[in-house]
Amino acid sequence: MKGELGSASRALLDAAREGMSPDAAAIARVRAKVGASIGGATIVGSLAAKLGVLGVVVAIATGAVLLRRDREAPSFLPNAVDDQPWVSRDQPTQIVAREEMPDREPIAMPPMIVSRPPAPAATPDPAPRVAAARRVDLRREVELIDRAMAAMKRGDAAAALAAVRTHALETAGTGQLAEDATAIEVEALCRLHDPTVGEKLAAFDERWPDSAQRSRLTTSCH
Amino acid sequence: MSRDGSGLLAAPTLQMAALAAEDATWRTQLVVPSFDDVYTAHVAFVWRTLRTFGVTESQIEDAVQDVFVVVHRRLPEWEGRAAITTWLFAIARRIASGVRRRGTDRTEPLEVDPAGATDTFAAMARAQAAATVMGILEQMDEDKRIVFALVELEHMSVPDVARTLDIKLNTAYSRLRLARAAFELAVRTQVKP
Repeated sequence: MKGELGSASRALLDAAREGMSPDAAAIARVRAKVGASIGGATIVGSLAAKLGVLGVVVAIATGAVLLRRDREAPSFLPNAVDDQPWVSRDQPTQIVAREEMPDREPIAMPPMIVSRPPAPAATPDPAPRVAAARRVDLRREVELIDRAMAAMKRGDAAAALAAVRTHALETAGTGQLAEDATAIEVEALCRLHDPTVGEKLAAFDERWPDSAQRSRLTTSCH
Repeated sequence: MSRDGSGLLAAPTLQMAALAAEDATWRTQLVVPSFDDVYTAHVAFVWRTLRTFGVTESQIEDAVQDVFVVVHRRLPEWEGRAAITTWLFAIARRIASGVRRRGTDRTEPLEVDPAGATDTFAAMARAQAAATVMGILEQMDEDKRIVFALVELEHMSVPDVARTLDIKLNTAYSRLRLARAAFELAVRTQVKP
């Protein structure tokens, strides 16, 4: 054998490689899903504004219908809201949308909807509620890591720390991007010359001994 | 925590400034590929890597999607210190770990593509080969399986694999040798000529 594979094994691997690869349709399908997710993330950011506009539209439409039907029950309305095409498959968008749905209630008083202040969904870091309720969505993790990276880029280590600590709170330290978050935390602590950085670095090494980020931390914390 | 002008930080600060300048020079020379380029060139690699890490057929599309959502967000910060496949591999490994930890199947059944009917026999043969190989790989421990898959399925060189996994070259060769022996033995017993 001498450590090399025989011809049967080689042929099997060659066939398997193709069998384990995505076909063109799958590649296109996943690309579309990624596009939808990326678009969805943007939408989440501006969801409050969209819901505000939606509220106005719903209010106007409802008012018109109410006038025309002379106080007939507008039972179609919740479905009309649920069917909005910009609600993606991902949980956060749906949850935010549903959190906004109480706006359906004042159907009989459209002006109340129009004057309602926009978007509690836009309030920053609703950590305790999310942490207790469910596993954090990957998109939320990416958002927090992005925020931390952006803060590091502009030299605001304290803001970066706040973002990664929010990440740690929301994911209970077990998120898919925990390694990135912890690396940023160590880097931020280095920049702040925090005396606890040694402990953090040791804990990082222990948890991710093969981390590809270790060399970057060595450089930035030198 | 504060930089209160005690003077203790003077030497490290100079050193850090020098490193930052070096880093800035290096960054200006780096050409970050576009997301579409990365997706097109590496989606199959990511797909197979996730399968190697044990992500099932029914979970794979969501897992690949998750990898590339991360890639899309993080690509501007990709530092090019390692090959992009190394970076993708690290992301895929974390996503696969999350998928396995959850252990849930959040995907609807895959649709069968009727357009592929003309190539059914070849596709079935490839799928069967893939299933056989996956079955053999599942019997290996993860350390050996990953080295074996990167060398034999991804055609990476052993030094590249050692760098990607951040392990010693001898360790990589040792794992590969053991994995090849196990694979060869399994093929002889499982696959009839």
